[in-house]
Amino acid sequence: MKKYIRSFRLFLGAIPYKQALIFLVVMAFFGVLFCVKDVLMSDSSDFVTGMFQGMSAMIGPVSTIIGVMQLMTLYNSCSPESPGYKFFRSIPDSGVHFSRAIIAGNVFAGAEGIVMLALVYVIFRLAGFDYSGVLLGALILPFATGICNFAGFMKRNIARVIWIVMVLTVSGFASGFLAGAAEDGEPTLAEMFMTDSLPFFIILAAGIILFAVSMILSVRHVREKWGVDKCSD
Amino acid sequence: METNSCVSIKGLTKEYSKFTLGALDINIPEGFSTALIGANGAGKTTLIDILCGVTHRTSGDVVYFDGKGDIADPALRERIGYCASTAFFPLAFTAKDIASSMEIAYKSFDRAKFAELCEKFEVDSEHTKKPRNMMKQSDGNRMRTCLASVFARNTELLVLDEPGSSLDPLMRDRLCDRMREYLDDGDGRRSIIFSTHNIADMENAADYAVFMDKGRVIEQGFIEELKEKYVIARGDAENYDKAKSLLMSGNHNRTTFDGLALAENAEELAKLGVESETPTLQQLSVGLLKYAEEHR
Repeated sequence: MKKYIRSFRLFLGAIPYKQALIFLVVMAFFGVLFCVKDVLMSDSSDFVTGMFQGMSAMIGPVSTIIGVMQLMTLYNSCSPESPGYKFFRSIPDSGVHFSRAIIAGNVFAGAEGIVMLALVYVIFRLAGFDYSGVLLGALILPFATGICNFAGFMKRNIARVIWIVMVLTVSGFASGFLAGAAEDGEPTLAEMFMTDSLPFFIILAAGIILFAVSMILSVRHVREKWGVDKCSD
Repeated sequence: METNSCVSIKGLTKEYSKFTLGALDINIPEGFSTALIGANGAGKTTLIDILCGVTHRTSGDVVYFDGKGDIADPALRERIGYCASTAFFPLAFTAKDIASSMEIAYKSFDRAKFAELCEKFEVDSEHTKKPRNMMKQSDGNRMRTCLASVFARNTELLVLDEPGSSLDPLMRDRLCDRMREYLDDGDGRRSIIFSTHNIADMENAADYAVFMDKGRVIEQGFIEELKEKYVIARGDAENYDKAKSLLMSGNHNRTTFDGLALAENAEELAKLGVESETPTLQQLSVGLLKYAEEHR
């Protein structure tokens, strides 16, 4: 495992750890905010109420994207237009390092997403919020990571960014839709999960399969193409 | 001059949609510093990228050191130090990140030496309090950091793409000294390949020169030998028309003219009252590149 982490560090330095720390601080801030919501909502302001509803719906899906963003940075750094590309291409065993970094990046994205979701879940439970956002985040996490892997070798960085923006947009729509439905008296995602969890697990399994396939293909692509001399003779 | 080659290139080509490099035949001598000289778009960076495994060649052979030919071989890459002209490291990297990455990537990287060289080159080292990342540094400082990282390794061949272009004149001079030290420490086993536009400033660092134009090599050789092969001819403007056929390229105004000519034509030029003198590398480069441009 150590060599995978070393390869990941080779490509991204200490940046993922710094970013993870920043996000943890942000999450802690939200945690405090949610815990004192009763004080803030005492005047029954529509703005504050709406803000908390929006945050509780979005914070789950957004927290899953943090690790995925770092995975995206990893792929970005290996695009010919990006600074650092020539360094990464010129090092010994560059393909091996890159494939290990992709595996570590995927594990990191998954682990970071799970930790963040767990944190959000604890905060929601403490604050007495509906935890549908956490379930939505858990469903999105493998799909977002898988899509990031599939988009990893797109020639244009902008195409990769569009993919990720699409994932965020879909999460936003889904969160909004669920929040709206709950307001109209429809069951929340958490209530649906408690009633029948099978569809949830089917979607999750599909996501995990997509994630696994994408990672395998990505690693195979790197090992076959990256740093291999394709001289015609 | 008879020497061994540290890099031998035969029939090397690289085809892009709008540019073709080669076919190139170059022998880079071992134990010397070789300058790749050419205008923008001559193919210097493409050649360097191929030599360092950043991009793949379309055809041809490149043989390194004692017959090793595959740049994908990690042991071969370990022996080559490479520094690109711009943004070699990710912009979010600090000196500490660079040191960590280099340490992971190369067995030959000396972390303490890197910190020492960073301080020598007056850029943030990993011991600097709150070191700035590459994004917050000037092009010159990025290049200094990059050079510190490459000189902190124990290599046999340095490949530097435009190392002097973003440096101030004083630092360029220091770089030339550092390159000389590197060669001297190698007992004739270490070599350098570098591309440059600042021919005058980097003249002290070069022993061998390869002149390139639009993807082709137009001339190559030891600079001292090239200085014997060519002359700079100077004369009065009234003799320009007669001397023109003996000149490879030249400039003239109302009173005088000067131009590059083959040394073998010096006697004939003298008969026309034209003086010949040894060219500087700068004059040689301008004359040869101008000649190539006019005869494309």
